[in-house]
Amino acid sequence: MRTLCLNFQKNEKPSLAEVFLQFSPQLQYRKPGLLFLDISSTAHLFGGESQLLREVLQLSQSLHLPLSAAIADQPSTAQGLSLYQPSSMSRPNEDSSALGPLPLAALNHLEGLICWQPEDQIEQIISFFKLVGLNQISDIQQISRDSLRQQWGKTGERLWQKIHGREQQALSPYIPKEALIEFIHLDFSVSLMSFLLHCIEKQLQRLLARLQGRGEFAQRIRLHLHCEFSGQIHLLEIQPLQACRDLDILMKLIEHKLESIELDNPIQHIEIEALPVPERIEQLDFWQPRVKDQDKVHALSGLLRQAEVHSGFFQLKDEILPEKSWQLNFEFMDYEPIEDQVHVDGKSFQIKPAHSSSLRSAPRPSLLFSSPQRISGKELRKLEFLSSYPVERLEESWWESTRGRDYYVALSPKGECLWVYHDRVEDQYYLHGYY
Amino acid sequence: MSKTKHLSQLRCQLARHLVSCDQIRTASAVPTGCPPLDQFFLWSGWPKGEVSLIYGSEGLGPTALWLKALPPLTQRQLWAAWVSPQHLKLCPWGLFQKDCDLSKIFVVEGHRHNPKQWLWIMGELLSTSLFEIIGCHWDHLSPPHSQIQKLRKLAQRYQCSIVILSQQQQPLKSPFYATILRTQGPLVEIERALHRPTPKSFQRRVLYADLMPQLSKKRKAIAS
Repeated sequence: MRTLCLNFQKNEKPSLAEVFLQFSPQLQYRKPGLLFLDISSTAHLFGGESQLLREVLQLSQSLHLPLSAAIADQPSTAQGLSLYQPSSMSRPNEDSSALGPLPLAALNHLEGLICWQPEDQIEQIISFFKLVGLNQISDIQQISRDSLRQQWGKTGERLWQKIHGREQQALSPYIPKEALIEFIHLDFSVSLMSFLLHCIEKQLQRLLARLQGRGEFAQRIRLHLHCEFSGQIHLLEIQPLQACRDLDILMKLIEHKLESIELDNPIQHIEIEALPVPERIEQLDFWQPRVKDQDKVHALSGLLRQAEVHSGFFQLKDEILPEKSWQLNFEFMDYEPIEDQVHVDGKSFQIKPAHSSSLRSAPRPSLLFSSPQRISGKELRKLEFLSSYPVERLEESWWESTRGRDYYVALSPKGECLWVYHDRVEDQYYLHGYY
Repeated sequence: MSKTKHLSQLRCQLARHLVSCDQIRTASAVPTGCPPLDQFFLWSGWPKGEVSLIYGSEGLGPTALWLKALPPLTQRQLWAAWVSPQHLKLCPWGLFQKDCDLSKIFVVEGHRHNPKQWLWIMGELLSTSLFEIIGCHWDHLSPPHSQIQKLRKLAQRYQCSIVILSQQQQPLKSPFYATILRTQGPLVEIERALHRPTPKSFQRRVLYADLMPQLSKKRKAIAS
């Protein structure tokens, strides 16, 4: 077994273990601020132990988590090395020689997954050996197991196993149970948006790292901004168009939402919660760029949707009425026109014609009104129609109460080219669009 | 000091800014889709990094003129965007009939005549660095100089061509517009085009008016 020990410089929350799940599924957190990972089966995925260690340190640096780390066979050895020889890696099956040069005080930190019990006994052991002039762990490695057991009982037995790298401590797979909530306690209340965004970004980054470890995406992010006075709380909820872990997109959405709230009542602490969904697994093409155009468009669509602005791609539909013949969709879908179907069965055949197939090639204006505008009699008399017969006659399903429209192209006195229709039921002319 | 000495002094001072003749390039542009216009403009199209204005009543063709640029652009798998108000929408069937790739046209509908929101939408579109050209229909009061200036800075940063279409008869002609076109009756008048002699008029028929062929297709009565 190969163990990576991460020694956080301060007492961190157990939920932090989730951040490092991406390096190994077998990990265990122990207070105060120790994380052990079994990297025997995952180190090769990162290009070796040294590369894995480098990536762990880079990740912790990006999340502003000061820590020291070391790799050894046993968790206890790794813990000791992380403190006295940070970023070191003992050779496989050479834990005892790696521990040799360490001072006796390091015995306090050779706990691994289980603390020393009782706690003060190991201090007594260290004081005793110092009294007799021993200074390093290599000096006490020569003492027999029986002697240590006789003197200090179970603690002596454990000590012998640890300094010779014989203690077996297995790491079981970690199952995330902590809620995806991060808290930000500000020392002084803040009403400056840029500073608020900075604080939120730091914690959001950690939250997203936890999601990455869990293999989940954030479907929604909820922010509770607790104000200093009157117990006021601002609740902001952002939902990207597609569940993601993209910090830039989420920060943009948060920034846009924050602009809509008044910060006269300063914010004292913030609660960020992520609602997760399982990760979508995507087979990436080696030749394709990582950031695709579609991702940019999705991010943009999400932002515009949050601002209640309708956007997307044209989705053409086989509809008779022009205003219903397309809609905007956030995802582009190919248009598959309806074609005539011919079924041949032996010597007989059946044709099912596609009605209104000629509409696809019918002339259409550049701009269309959402709701056609009524033309008064006076305005109608000023128009010059290009033909006395309608260019097109559109009617909906015959079994419904159809209105029927006769379309004309007309020129206004200013020379504008208009698309006008005559509603046969109302006997009224409408302006529908401009060419 | 003799002339040659002056010249050599100038060459020394400006050495890093001088280029040879074969290295001279005009600013890049998006072809308008109308060859006579492209030949007239210095940059052979709607200039990237600049804001252009086409104004005139709807029906006189400002939108149709802008739409001419889209089919060749999208066929090269490049992106375009369109921003329009809620009540007047762009009809995609004309583009479909001209084999335009609709998957490369992003549409924003329904900006609420709020200049601040409009500028924000344009800023977000530009910041994706995705679009070669953005058309924006503006039927309210003309955007002020300051907004056009901001838009121009964004366009320069992201190297995108912005074309504003206005239906006002007398829009505010900001000095920050690189090109101003007016559609009036049968003519398209180029009121401003940087580094080109203006005004210059073109017949709309010559440029892009293809309504009659569209109408008379398969209609013998009209074709005759």
